[in-house]
Amino acid sequence: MNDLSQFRNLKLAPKILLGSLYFLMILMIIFSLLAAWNTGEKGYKQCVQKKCDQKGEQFCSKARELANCCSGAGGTLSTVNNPNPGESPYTCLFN
Amino acid sequence: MISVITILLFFIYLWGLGFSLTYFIYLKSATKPDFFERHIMDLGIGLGVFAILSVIINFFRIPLDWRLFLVLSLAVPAYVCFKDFKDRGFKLPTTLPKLSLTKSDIYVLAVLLIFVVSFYIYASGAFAYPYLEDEDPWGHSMGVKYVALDKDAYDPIGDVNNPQRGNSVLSFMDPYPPAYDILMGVLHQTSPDLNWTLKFFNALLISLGFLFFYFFVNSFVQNKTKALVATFFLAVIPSYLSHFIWAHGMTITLLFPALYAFNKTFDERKWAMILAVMVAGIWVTQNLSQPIKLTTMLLIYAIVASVIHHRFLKYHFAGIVGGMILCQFWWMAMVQKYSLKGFVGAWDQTLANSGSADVVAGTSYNLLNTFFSLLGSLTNPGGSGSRAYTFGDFFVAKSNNMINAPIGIGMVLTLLALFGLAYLVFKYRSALVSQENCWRVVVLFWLVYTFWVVNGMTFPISIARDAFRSWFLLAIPVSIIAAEGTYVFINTFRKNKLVQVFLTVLIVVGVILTSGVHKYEANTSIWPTSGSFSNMQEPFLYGEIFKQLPLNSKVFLYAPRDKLVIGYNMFSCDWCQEVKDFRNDIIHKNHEELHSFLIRNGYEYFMINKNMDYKYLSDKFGEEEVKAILPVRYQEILTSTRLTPIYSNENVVLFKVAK
Repeated sequence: MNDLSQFRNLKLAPKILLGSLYFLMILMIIFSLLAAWNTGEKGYKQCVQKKCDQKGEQFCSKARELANCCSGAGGTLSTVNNPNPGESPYTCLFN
Repeated sequence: MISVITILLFFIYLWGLGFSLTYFIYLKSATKPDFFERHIMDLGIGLGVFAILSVIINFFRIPLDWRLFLVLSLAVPAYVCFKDFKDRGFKLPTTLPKLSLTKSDIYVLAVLLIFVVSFYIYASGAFAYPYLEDEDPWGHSMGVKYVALDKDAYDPIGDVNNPQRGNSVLSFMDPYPPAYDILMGVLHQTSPDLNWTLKFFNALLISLGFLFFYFFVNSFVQNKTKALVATFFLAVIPSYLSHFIWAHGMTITLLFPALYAFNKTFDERKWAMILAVMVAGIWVTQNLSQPIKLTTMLLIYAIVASVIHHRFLKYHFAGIVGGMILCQFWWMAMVQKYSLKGFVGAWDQTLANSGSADVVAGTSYNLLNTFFSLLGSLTNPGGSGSRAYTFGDFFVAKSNNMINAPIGIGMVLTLLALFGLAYLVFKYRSALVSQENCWRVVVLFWLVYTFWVVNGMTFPISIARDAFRSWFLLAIPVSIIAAEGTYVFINTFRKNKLVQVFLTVLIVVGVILTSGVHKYEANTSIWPTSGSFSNMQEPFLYGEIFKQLPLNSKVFLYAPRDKLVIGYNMFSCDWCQEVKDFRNDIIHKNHEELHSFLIRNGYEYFMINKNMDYKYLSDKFGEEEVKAILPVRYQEILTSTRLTPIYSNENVVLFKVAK
């Protein structure tokens, strides 16, 4: 209650400043929680698909881009022995 | 090869220029900082002065010569010495100044220790291999050599119709802001070993940043203990700068003198001038993305402080805006040289192609389209190393890290930062927006901003460019907040000194084990280098071969990789017109033509590297043609009596060119 009255006593500008700070911090928490969707097999595939849509097949099949997507999904990029023709020689492994 | 004279000159340039600027401010100032603060911050301020002054000197086409910088650095100190001497009736002082160690000096000594240890780690890591790492440092080596020899920082042959990187001769100069290459180039004028110059002074610049950071935090939070702890955390946090050679190291280092000047402007408005010079220095050191982020941090500080102090901080804003006006000595010259469209294209080709540059130039169409293109470009989080991050990337520091922009905070540091964050939010709540807590609000806003920027690929919305190159900025508020958390935590036990000491040791050891060790290992391991080489051993072999030749011998590589020669302390004039013309048709030149070209241009050595030649010549002339012609050329070269092999293995042959 004391805090609330203290907040009410603030002038408009500090009130907006403080409100913005708390709003942004809550937003960061929400975004961080939402980032759970980026992880795992599903997150990896989404990431690769997004790169393919944005910059084409040749770009999104590069090892560096696959490694970035894989690390971002919490996995480790590994090479596959003797992949079938046309298949990527890389795979993202998750614990 | 160590150049003691150049180390001395480096400190004279920086200290002299910093002293010259601050002398007139301190002259009529009621309060003066103590000895260490004054002279160490003069170094930081001098770095910013050097950056913008060198660009202005270059703008007026005055040669960038080390002697000019020496004279400019010493002019004011010499005048002050003479004035003092005259005031004493031309008599030498009869008494020596009293030497005493204050409590404040002990803190400075502790920070100096952090500086020395950091410098040792960075430098020993950089000198663990004979080559330059990755690709960027080789590119910088060309700019540095060009400044050292031609004493100029405008690209010699840059195609004004096509200034994108890769097409211009020097990758990190024109339109890329040149201050980093100028500083290293001027140092290289007195230190013939370019490889040593780059590695040593790059490590020194980054390490000096810790000293500047300490004095900035001290003036920011008004507490020496917190400043010392924050500096220790910044030094051990893996995500703060590595010893990678690029302009980012100097740009981020310049932020601390800028923030120091910002803090001083509260006491004396004349400091706004120094703030302007520091901001200008930042803007002429790196190519827009980092200056935009650093200026945003300064603007956040200015806006938050204006609200909390209930007045518009016009001198602070004037300092920031003034700096951005001052840096136009570089940026307007670039726009004038390349046109606005060409200049925008150099920064972001997509943006230039979208038609936005036409609109900016006043020739075309859709304003809304332009706005979104520009916004998209300014907030594009992409880049070779950008990716989404998981909690583990922050919490668990790893020794196997990115070499240019390492990531991770470490377990104990993360916990301390989270504790500090929780304390700031729950302890102060509405009271946060008071004058004594101004720095706390600023640092929280910095945390939100830098955390969001780093997570540009993780979060649905990105707010700045180059997410992965922003980890060093996140390290700044994290260190300050973790220092606040540590200070509060330790002081909870203020009644029991023994517990306090125990906890302090525990935290220091914990932070070193979970962050510092990983930073040490990442910075002292053998880093990979340019993709031009055929295998991991070849860069070491090149180091050994070139070590046998006199410094700065002229060596011509058959492959267009002159930057490698320069980075290994040899020389090849990649920017000379005749060399460029010869390279355009090199595959069709027979050994007679090759030899006369080498003699005409003063080359003493010539080198072939089968894999490298095949790779780069194929890019230029096509695989089929190279497959057909290259073996013929090799046969001619190997049987030539005018080229004597002095080293050979199955892939590489080095020849001495006979006159």
